[in-house]
Parts: sequence; C-alpha cells; structure tokens
Amino acid sequence: MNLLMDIPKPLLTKAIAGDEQSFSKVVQLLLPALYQFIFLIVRDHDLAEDIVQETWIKAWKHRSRFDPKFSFKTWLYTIGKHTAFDMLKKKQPLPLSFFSDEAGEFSFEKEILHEAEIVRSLDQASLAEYFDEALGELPILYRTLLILVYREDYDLHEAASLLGEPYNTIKSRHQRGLKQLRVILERKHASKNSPHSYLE
Amino acid sequence: MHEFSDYFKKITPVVPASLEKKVLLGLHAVILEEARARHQWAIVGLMLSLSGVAGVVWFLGEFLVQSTFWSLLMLLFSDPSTVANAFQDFGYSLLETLPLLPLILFLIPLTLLFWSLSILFATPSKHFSSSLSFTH
Repeated sequence: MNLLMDIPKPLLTKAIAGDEQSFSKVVQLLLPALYQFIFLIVRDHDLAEDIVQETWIKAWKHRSRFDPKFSFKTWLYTIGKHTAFDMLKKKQPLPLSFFSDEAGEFSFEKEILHEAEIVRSLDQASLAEYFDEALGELPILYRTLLILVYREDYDLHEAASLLGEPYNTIKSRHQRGLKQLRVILERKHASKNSPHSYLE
Repeated sequence: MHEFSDYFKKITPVVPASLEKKVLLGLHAVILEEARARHQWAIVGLMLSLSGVAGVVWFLGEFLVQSTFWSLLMLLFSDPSTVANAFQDFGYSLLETLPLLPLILFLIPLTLLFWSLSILFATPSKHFSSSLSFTH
C-alpha cells in the first residue's frame, strides 16, 4: 500500500479529535487521490463530486469510530466505496448481477493469469491508447478491485479488508477481473486493427 | 517495457478546481447543523436543570432547614468561637449529619445546569469557512 499518501500522525490525531483546521488540511491532502479513486469507479464527474463530498461528511460525522492503528486513507476509501455503490444503486436501479461476481464465491480457477501476460500479449502503444476505455467497460466489482490493487498498491489481503469480503472471494475475483480485462483489451485491439475500422 | 500497474497509474482524471470548496462548504454546513442541535439540547437541558434545582429546593428545602446538619451549620455564624475551639469535633458532626440523598438530588440538576451553560457559551467554530477564504 502507498503509505506516502497517508497523512502525518499529529495532524490526523488533531483532526480526529475534532479540530476543524486540521481536518480541512487532511481534506486538502487526500482530496485528489479520493476523487480519482471514486471517479475511476463511477466514471461520471458530477456523481464522483457528490460522492466525494458525502464521503468527507461521513468521515467527519463518524471520525470517533476511526481506529488510529489503521490507515486513515484505507478507512476513507472504505467509506468512499460504500457511498459510491449506494449512490449508484439509488441513481438507477441496477441488476443485482452488477454488484456480484459472475462465477460465484467458490469458483475454482483452473488457469492462473498473471498481469504481465496481458502486457506481453498486446501491442503496448495501442494498449495505452484504450486501456482507460477498457477499464471503464469492466463490471464495477472487478474495476474497483483492480484499481485498488494496481493503482493504489493494496495487496489482496488489504483489498479484501477494505471491501469487507473474504480473501478467497477477492482472490478469485481478481483472477476473473484480469481475464475479463484481457478479453476487452483483445476485442478493442482486434477492432482497431480490422480493415473496417478505417471506414468508421 | 511497462509494468501492468503503470497503465493504471497513467490514468489521472482531472480533479475539478471547485471540489475542495464544495467539500469544505459541505463540512461547514454539517458543523453548523451540529452546533444548532447542540444549542437546542442545551436550552432543553437548561430549562430542565433550572426546574430540577427549583424542585429540589422547594421539596427538600424544609427538610434541610429542620435537619441537625443545618442547626450545626448555623453554629458557624451564631457561635463561631465555640466552633473554633472544637473545630475537629464540629467537622465530624457535620459529616455524620450530612444529608447525602438531598445533596445528590441537588447535584444532579446542578451538573446538568453547568453542562448546559458550557454548551451555550461554547461558540461554534467557523474554521471551515475561514479556511475557504484563506485558500481561495
């Protein structure tokens, strides 16, 4: 996990004690990272802004529940993720499958896919071109997990704790997420390189 | 060759310039709301405690005035020289006759009264709004 993004302990202690000046400094320090994390999950600027504001308000109201033994950033991201999922559900009635794993909790992964294989199997220039787009097409549960692991540098145990799910579920979801991302990337790669793409 | 995670880290959505102001304004509104709620509770507490103090004085005042404790206490003013001569015995007698129950009953509304007053006089902080004017 990226500890550099966490905040100085004396500042955090004062903020948690209810010192508004310290809390506003904490907001200034973590706001960009939180916004980017939330935006990558919901892919909507207006919604991401509302979620970020709601997340900070919840963090202020429930600051006494924060355990200083743990990372404040992780605690904040947990609130942010819950708020994002709640708001997405409220905004438009989404099917239950949108928030659940396709293969279920106890699926047995026969083939292990390593992330390096995704990079190796595709042309790097084009990969950079449509990686963000492909990530946006990934179901939200996979997208959230892959962002936590590869962008925020959480390991699978930390991600499981943040998402409030068993490690084994997260482990298999990680594999399914990688495989689905590869499928989307390959499809995009193929459509870009097909002769018909020049006519579009 | 790029690491897989590099592709994730290269995606950097632009943070809206107005977001910090929006968040701090939201927090300021919440703090004002909390202060308003505390203020209302303090007023309720103040009214209850004043009624409590008045009730205790009204119902237990006569009991207290007729008690041995009160008679001994009055000796302090009527015969201070005797009290000074036997100060230790006087102290013990006072402790022995101390009406504990009325005292506790009196302390409860008194504590509530001080708590309510402390909340009423605590001014709500305006930092979230002042930090806005400072940073923007």
